[in-house]
Amino acid sequence: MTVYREVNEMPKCASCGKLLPVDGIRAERLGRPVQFCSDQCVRIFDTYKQPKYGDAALAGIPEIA
Amino acid sequence: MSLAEPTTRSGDQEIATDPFLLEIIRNHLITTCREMGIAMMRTSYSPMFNEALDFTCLVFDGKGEMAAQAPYCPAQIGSTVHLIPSTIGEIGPENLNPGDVVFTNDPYRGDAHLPEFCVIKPYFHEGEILAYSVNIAHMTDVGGMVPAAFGDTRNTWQEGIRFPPLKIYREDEEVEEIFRILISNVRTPKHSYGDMKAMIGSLYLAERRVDELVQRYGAATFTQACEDIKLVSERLMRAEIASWPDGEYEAEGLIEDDGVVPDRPWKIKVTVVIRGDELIVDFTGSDPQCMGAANQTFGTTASAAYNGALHMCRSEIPYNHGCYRPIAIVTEPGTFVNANYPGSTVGGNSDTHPTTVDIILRAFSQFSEESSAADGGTCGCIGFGGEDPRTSEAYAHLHLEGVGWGGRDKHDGNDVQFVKNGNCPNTPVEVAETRYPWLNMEYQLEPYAVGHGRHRGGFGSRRVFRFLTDGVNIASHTNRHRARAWGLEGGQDGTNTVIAFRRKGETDWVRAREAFGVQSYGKFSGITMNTGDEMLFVTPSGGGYGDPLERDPELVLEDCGLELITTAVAQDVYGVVVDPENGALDRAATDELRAEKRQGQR
Repeated sequence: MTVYREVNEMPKCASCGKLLPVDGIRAERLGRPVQFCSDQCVRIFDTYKQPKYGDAALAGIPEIA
Repeated sequence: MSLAEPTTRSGDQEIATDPFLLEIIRNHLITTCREMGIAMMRTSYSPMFNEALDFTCLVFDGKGEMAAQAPYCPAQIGSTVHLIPSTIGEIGPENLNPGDVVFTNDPYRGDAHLPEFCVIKPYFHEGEILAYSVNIAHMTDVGGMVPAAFGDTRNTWQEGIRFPPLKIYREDEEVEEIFRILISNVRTPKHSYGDMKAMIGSLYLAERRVDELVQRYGAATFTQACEDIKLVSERLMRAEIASWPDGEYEAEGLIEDDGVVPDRPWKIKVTVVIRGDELIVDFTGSDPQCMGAANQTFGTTASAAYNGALHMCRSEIPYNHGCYRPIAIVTEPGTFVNANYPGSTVGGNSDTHPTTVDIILRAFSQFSEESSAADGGTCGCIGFGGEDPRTSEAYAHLHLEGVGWGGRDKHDGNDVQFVKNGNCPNTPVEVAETRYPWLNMEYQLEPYAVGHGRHRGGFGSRRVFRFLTDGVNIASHTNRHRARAWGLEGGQDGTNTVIAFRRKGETDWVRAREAFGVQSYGKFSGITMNTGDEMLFVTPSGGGYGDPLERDPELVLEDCGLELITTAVAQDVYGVVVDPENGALDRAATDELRAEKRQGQR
């Protein structure tokens, strides 16, 4: 059997919060590595979420192992 | 063809397909989705499919983007925007072969909740995947601690069996092991097997229809048409959003409890952000995820956001991936609107979703008259299970019920209609009584209970079940037992849900919390009814829209004539005086009374 990853071991998009069973767009925000599901979410994070919520913009987003 | 990165903005691209041909191909695909549904109705085993129509049929293009859908269940449709590309991506399109069918029901991977079984079949042409046919359908029973899944579950394992993306068909052959695992984990193996085969059968049907298009017009034309179908919708959707005033509009609302912690309401907060032709639906500030089953998955929340936005559109927009491109979702994992594994989410898709949509509409109401007061906010999900003495076989049935919808600027709310996340008809009394061991002693509109307004809410229903055998196991995940559908613009709130029971020979109805010591009036499991026992189910009415004193007196009179409201309510709430002798409208007295009441409002 190939390695099975349970969903709590998978990253989530730093903007929309969606689970990413396959790798998304890797980036660094607020001093930590993050992933995004799409270019749209990168843009929403940079122009809306982070300006509005500051350091709390990554609340709930799990650290990437 | 490989899966595309989700597009940021493509509405400015040129539409290359001839417009007449584009309409032909678009409508062929939509008709294909409708035909898939008809096949489902005719070949499935469970009333959930062949009566309640709790399924959705779609065609996705080779990029994994939705090209067409038929108007089945909005909750399922919205979740597939995320579930399908995610599932295909996890399996890997390069690992798919002609005749393969992929299956998943994983709520954490984008599905709406565990009972939504999703099957996906790639359509190959000359070695290339040009499309995927998709069927997502609410399987009645998925194992777990309660029949038909809905109740007071606390985690995914109590809900039932979960399948990550896997192949259930390989090159047109059943993967027997998967079917064996499935049917050995549910209460109704024959029905579950038959329903799965109905779902998969519809995929083969769609594949034939797509092939007809490709054979007739060629692969290149088909592929370009799929792109252009999405582009047209994206342009229309962006134009619609651009017509709304830029700004941030906040609203919040409550789900009354989670079935585990008594009397603890759960907040959903939404900020609707309009920036030019782009819409952001931001759920930041919503409560942490609850212990019970009321949590929404990401797929459900995204679907509710699309549902709310599309309700606001004044123009006819063909629904496909293009509609969703201008809409961005923001959620925080681990909250009520994006539950983390292993949180229970089965009720979030059915009973939290409608309220989420209404909260979004409440935000929209700050600038638009296209919005509405809240609807009854519950699907009426009551699960029944046991052994039928007529067949000695186990049964499981999920009962769905309509509610009153909220009043709107130009219309009263609809009566006894399924909430906004589905288009599900009720299961006819005759069908239910033929297949299950109970009778319907009453089924009617619930009069005199409604949210009053210039346009009043719709009415709910009243139903009494009498059980014909011992050991009927009942579970429920319903809302609005305490919280009511809110009115808008001076309209009054709607009325509550009631579920109550009485043993054979008793006369008084007793609600579940008092009768059985459960934590909630609407979210519970493990209640057993025996021969002659009865259950009462009253569904809630919708909220009213606008000041009741502004309601057309003729409409008030009509409601009196239909015995939907009393003449006393007509006078007290609406300021409408009805002559007790002849039942006619007394216009002079009405004008005078309304003037007095308006004076009193100041």
